[in-house]
Amino acid sequence: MLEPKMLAQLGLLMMFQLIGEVVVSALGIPFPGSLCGMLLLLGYLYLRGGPSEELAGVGSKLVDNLGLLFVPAGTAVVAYGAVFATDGPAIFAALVLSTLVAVLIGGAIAAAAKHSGADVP
Amino acid sequence: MIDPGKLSHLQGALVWLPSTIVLYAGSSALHRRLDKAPIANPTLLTIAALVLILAGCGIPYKTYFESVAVLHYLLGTAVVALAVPLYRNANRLHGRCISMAVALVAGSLASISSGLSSPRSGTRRHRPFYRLLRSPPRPPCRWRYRA
Repeated sequence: MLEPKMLAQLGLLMMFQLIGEVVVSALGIPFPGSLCGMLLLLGYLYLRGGPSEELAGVGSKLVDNLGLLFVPAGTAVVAYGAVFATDGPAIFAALVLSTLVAVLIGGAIAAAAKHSGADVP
Repeated sequence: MIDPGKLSHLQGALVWLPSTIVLYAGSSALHRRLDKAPIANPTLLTIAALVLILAGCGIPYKTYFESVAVLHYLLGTAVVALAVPLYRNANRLHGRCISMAVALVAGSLASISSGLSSPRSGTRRHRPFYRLLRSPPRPPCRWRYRA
């Protein structure tokens, strides 16, 4: 399934993850370590002039199964039973409402910026 | 009838890692069969099934999380891997960075403030969101991947 070269690229991704985590911990800033690792990898890709075929391959295998990787975090709702029992409807309403508001405001601002031509090169 | 006592010894990666993956594979197949209906989102179905199983059998979330921690670790790896599609689509972002950044920040702020100011959330007796803010809905286990 994983050729040796792809395995090496998986290791490379994990090294960037580790470096990102170390950088964030060392700086003591509230920023996700893996996101920091992503930015570092992006810089590396610009320096290198693009990802190798193996890196792109192993990366897309991971990203294609992103839904599976969210399961452990999502299942944590089972540990919040007491909160949902008392405030379930309010939480659900807030989730739906805030998602709608975010989509509407985000879309409206992006559309307005596009029409005004604010940052067309 | 399932006797919770008999299942309590079922712990560790041996049970929950394969269960999670098989449930997700099954959910994905169902999702495809239902013409990718959003309600049959495989992540949602898998989480729902696992919540029923864990709650039904009285398995603490900590036990579950410890056995699937590798999946949670790989989520971080997948986030790092998102740099590849970002790099490949960078030309499409060109010239749109400012409007996208403004829209993202405004959308996030709108989402946070509307969520916090929803009915009941501001009253003294019911502050679920502030409670969740103090302890965000992330795995409530200290599992850090440190070298």
